[in-house]
Amino acid sequence: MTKCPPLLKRGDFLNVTFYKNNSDKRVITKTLTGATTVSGVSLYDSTSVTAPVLKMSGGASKIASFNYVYIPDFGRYYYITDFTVENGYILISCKVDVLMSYATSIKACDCIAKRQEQKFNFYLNDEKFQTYQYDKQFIHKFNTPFSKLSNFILVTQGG
Amino acid sequence: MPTFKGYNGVPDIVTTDFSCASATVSKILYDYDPPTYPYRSNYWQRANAFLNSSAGIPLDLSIFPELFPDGYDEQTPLKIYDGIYLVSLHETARPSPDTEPLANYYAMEWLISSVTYGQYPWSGNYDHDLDEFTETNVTALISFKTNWSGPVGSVFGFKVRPLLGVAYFPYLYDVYDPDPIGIIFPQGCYAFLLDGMLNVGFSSGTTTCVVNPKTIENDAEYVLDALVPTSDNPLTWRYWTLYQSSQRLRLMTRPPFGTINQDGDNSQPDGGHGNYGDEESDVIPSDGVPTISAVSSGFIKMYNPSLQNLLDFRDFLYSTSFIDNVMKLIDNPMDYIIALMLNPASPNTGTNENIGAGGISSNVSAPIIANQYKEFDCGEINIEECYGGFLDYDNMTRVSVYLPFCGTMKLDTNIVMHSTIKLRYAVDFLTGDCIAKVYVRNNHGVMAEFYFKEGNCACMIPMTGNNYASFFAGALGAISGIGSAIGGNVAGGLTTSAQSIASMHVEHERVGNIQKGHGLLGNYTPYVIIERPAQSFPSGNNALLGRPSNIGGKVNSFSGYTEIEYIKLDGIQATDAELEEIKQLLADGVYI
Repeated sequence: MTKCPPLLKRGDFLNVTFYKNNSDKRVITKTLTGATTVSGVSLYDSTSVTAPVLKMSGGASKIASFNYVYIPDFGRYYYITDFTVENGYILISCKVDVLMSYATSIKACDCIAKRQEQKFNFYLNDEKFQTYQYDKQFIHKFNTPFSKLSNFILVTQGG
Repeated sequence: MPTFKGYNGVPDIVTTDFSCASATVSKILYDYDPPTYPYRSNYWQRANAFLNSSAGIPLDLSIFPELFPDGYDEQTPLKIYDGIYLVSLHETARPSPDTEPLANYYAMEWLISSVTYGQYPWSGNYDHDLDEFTETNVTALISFKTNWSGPVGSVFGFKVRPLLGVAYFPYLYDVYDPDPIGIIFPQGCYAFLLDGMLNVGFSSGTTTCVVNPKTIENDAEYVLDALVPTSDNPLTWRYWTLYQSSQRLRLMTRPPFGTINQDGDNSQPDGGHGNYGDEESDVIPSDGVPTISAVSSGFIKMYNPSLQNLLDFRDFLYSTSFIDNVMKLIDNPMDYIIALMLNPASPNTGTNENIGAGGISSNVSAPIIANQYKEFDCGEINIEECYGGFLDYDNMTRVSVYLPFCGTMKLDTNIVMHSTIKLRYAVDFLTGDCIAKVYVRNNHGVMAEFYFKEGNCACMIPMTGNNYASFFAGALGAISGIGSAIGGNVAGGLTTSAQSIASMHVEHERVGNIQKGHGLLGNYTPYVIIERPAQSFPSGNNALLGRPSNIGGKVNSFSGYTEIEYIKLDGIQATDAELEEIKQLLADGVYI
């Protein structure tokens, strides 16, 4: 069921929290620092819940060091993809971080891991594994060889 | 006494054994209490509606007034009875009770069956063979029931199916179904029914009742049919059929009525019944070498002379005494020398004997070779994993074995890895042929011969210009030929017979090749060659790439880098686009 954000109109003000995200994008639960909540942020023109554009007044220096934002009204976390300035307003382009936004639910899902850092089976063929072109040769001899001292074998008829 | 049991896992199953003189009937009944099963009322409604609208037959609500003084209604608990299984009849004069089931039978809707009775014991007034009931009869029957005043002297007349034991109206409303699924009776009636069926039984005498008694074997178990309705659509009900002498019910693939899938059988879950490797391997023993050889025949003798022995024997061969004796019998005394060869394998020898040829015993003593064949154990080697993974197996690691006198042979890595390979040779000292046998003992301790390779370990020594290959074969053939020529007595034939064996064709051509002795030029030590890959394993590989897993669990049961192949995204209230993005990100790899 799609979660519908509250009905917002152009010009409505939001309280958003800016963060500094230090984690790789692929990390489900990001490590966020420098939480700064800003009120009076509005939505710019028409916007989508997954790629909103926030509009706020004030100097860009206030938020230029942030790269991540949480919008409670949307219930989602976002990457800040761009800052632009228009008519004295700062426009903040965002893109939803689905991993962080739904981290708890994702982690509760059943899955089958294809590759894993810790729980793996080395007996499964690994097409990503690299080997050198040369092989390493090992020789193991059997412990009872034939003797170099040959035997004469004489076969006669009518013996 | 045979026993009956219900099927497992279904609640409210009541199994009751009713025994009488020669019959046992059990029932499985399923309680359909209205509060529990919402379909109950629907049954009644449908029954009423059907009867009223289709057949115009009103449901008689005055049945068993003593039990249901207010008549039937939607709240009247019903029990569905299956498998009323009458096995035999016996005489009785006791009256039968009256039962009045719901009379609504339609193959495509839902089924009820009814038990009719006749006032007269198997008289011709009523044909109790329900197969012959028609719509008119049913109407009359129900009407009869309505007007019936009392069961005194009545008996039950019904047809009992061998499997289901259910009485039915197969021709009701011109819809025929020979496999009804049950009898629906108002609660409390069953006891009367069974009491009447069993303890009362049937009245003997002239009867037209077609009752098919069936003998139930003592000490056998029977599981009766049962019905598990899961909706008000009988086509979705689960029907179980009777398995005689079975402890399990078998779920039918389709309802006993309803349309048949014309496209074929409904697919059913199946498979997965293998033993998953839970089986024992057979131990293949080593058969060794034959115990009876050419030497056993006595036609030839094999010696293991030393070099000095040979030199002395050579002198003897060319001595005047040998030549004088042998020349009387054969052109070339050397014809008695079948073969002389070098062999790195040491034969089993017995006592010393004077070397003899052509019936002439020399004064040169040499160890006799008692058996043409011998087996040699070269030892065993453990083939161990290097990496403990796929790198140790086929396509990555290669294993081969060098076999003296035979050559090099590639082994299947998947078979020999993490196993012990044992090498044995079987040598034929008469021909120099040998077979290298490679045994594999797996980690379950089971050893079997997996590979063999033939070769030759002898170097023939040319003694004359004769072609020893053909000579040898010819000698063997000549021996048998001589035997037949002198009446089968070949023992000593060469020594006493004055017959010339000049007929033994000897090709006087130069034989000096040692084509079969190439193996002697190789290495005498067998060994295994293992070619292992050299892995290039960067630091941080697991954290950045992970390794093949194929392990299931909750996402939060994993940690670190994870690529998720299959996931069920339950409980995530995201948009469709977001869900797709989640799946893709998880498949590409995330850090948990």
